[in-house]
Amino acid sequence: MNIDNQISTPFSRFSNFCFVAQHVTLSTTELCVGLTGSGKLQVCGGELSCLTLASNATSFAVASGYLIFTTGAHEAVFAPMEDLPTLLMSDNNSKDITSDWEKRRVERGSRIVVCVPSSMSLVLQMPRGNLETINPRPLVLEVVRQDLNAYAFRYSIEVVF
Amino acid sequence: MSSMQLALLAGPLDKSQFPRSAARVPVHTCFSPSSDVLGVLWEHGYVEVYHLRTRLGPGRGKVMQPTKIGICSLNETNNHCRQIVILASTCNADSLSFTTLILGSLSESDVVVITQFNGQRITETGAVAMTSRNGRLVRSSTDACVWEAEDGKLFRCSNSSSSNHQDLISFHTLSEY
Repeated sequence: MNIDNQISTPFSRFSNFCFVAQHVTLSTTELCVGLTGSGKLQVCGGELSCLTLASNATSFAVASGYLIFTTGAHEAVFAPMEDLPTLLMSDNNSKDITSDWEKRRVERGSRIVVCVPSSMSLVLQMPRGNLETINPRPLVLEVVRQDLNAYAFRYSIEVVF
Repeated sequence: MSSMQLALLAGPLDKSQFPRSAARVPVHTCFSPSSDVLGVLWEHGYVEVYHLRTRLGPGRGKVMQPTKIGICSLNETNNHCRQIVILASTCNADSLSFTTLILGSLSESDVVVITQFNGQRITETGAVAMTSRNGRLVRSSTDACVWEAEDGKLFRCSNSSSSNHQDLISFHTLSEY
């Protein structure tokens, strides 16, 4: 960074202040994901509008090409990051896109601690404070896809079994 | 119960780095998104950076062997620092370098102080005064510096020479205040 020429420029905006937020760079654009204190999970980017993905989110993480978030309905939702720019540009098909997202039931009150792409695992904190690890299907399939693209067929079969 | 504890303030205290009235407990910590580095920030602008050397594989021995690789005392923001973010680092076998952002407050606005670790020491390279107070730094997996204002607006610190000045709203650097 050239500090002598350092400036700050407006980039985008959330509709509400998000105490937890993350900046993500995709192949074609960049996005910011934020979680408000009231549980609104918001996505905004560049010249795109701000979109509320969920109003009952409790935690989120970005890993393996997915935005993973837990909801008050005791679910972990896996939203492909590549879907989000399309979703931001057109609200007409938003329900069609979001209905295709993979969901998984989790224990009531679970929150995401960290996602570990290399081990295909998602670490959740239970309401009692204990940590549990799950291996969600989207994360496993992502690793299998990478192995297949690299012609590592044996590894991809070993991952599945 | 814990398998490993990192004892902060274990060494003798330097009075210039720790004023008598300063809080002894760090106000914020953060991990590097790309390497095994932990940054620790005290409210009055004192920064310590640790290379944790975490052992991920199986076997006996310590789970991590942290070493303090750098310290820094900020000049501009005396006692209102509240957040530290380490940007993606470049880690080689011999050297480790990264940029650290520290969020503090002036009387009228927030200020983002930028420090760089070049493998040997941390140097304060500059600061940017933002538009308002009570903002937050947004963590990023890339080398992007994003600040969120109180009303949800997002600002990115960038090099003005690579941008179009007419499309941008630029703010004064700290030295111009």
